[in-house]
Amino acid sequence: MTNIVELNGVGLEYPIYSIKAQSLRNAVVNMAVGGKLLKNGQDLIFIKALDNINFTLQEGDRLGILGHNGAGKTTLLKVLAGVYEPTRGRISVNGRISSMIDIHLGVDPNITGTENIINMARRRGFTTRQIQARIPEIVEFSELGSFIDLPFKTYSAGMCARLVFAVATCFEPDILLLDEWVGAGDAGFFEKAEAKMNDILSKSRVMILATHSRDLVQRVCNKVLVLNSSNQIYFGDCSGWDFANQRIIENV
Amino acid sequence: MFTKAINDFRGGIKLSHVWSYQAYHEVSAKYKRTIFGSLWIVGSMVFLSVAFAIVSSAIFHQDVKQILPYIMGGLTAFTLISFILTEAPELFMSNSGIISNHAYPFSYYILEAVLKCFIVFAHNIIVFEIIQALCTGLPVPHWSILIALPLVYVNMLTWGTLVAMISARYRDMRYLLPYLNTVVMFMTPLMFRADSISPSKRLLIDLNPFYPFIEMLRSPLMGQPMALQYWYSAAGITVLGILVWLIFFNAFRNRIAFWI
Repeated sequence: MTNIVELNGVGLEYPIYSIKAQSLRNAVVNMAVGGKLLKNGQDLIFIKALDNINFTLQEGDRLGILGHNGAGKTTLLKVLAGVYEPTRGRISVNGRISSMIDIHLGVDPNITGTENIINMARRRGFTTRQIQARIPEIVEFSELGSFIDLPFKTYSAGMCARLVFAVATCFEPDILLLDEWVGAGDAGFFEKAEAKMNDILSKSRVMILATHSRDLVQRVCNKVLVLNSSNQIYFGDCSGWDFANQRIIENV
Repeated sequence: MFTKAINDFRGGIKLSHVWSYQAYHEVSAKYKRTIFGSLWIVGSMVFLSVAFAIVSSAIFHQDVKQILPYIMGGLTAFTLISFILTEAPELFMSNSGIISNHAYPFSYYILEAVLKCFIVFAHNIIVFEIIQALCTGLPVPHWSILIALPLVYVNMLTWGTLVAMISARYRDMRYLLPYLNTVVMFMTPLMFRADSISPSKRLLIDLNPFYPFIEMLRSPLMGQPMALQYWYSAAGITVLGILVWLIFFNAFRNRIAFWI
């Protein structure tokens, strides 16, 4: 089987710029004094966000990424999505990335629901024809009815969430990236959203989910990657990881 | 060599259906629910041109009708090119929400923004032609405008990207460059004619990097080609821009996400 996602020794160092480091005056002063102020003036800290991450995923794999806050879960997702380029190692992705890290891409409060659907889908790279065919389906799923022709800013929070969710999940994903499970709205809609998520999950070739929830990983994933302060502790089948005690099961 | 920059640009071009729509959408959305709609796009250029023309005709004792098309042509060109100093510094900052979550090629943002400027420019040109027809009659635009437009486009892309990167890295630039824009506006022959400058002060114009690009649009619009000397400097600036863009965009592209 071909590897759809492959990471070899991926590392990412993240420069954090303080206010001083982004000031031109300090850069000029540094130049003038021959770099003596470098330590104070520069204030450039590198954070090792990911260190030596290795894994491969094949068709049908569902990977859960577990880790504490700041362990590098979201950063890893962003590296996979291509937002950040790794500073070390190689990453190869064979397929189209469908990122649901930020499902609000393309939302404009000043235009109507229909226009927002077009806008959001456009931003995700779909053509007008592809979108137009989906509009009735999206309107129906989001239960907005005639509200769809009103400006987005007049919607209640629940309506906004439903529309965004409906658009974000309406296109077939290939390699699906999720930062925490995406759910939407009120109790009535919640189950429908769950069903929809399970549906797109089954349609995707590979799914990668960053989450805090061990139960969720055990429920929907077959592989698990455990991160601890930017290092990879474990990668493999869910059966090889002791979720309760957070350690590798020795003799499987 | 420079594969990263070129691939990024290629990726941006591939998204042309997204940014062409987005650019149109943003220009039109701004004036939605206004009575005069797209007239507001040309408003600032028209008001400024008329004000300049009145003052200028008083200072140089010229007929307003003669000087208005000249000033309007200059300001139309200047409005387009001043993108580099006014909007480009905000380019990555204003898209930071998308940049930090989505892997768009960085060229996408500049392609979208420059197209937006050209849409506004197209509006301005129509008004300019109408005013010119009313004031002095309509000359046939010189063919050199067909070279001038792509040349201006390329420079807006390369220098615009560089300015956007510098401004994201060094925040002072965000404020400094728009100020510089006002200075350029007064230093460039927009309100006065280039030949009204005494020969000893000619360097003020010859060393102004914005002048050739404004002149190469204005002159053909008034039916004449630009002097050959300025074509050389424009070509030099263009080649330099492409080279610097290749080097810096290639080397620091992947840092942009951390700067914003």
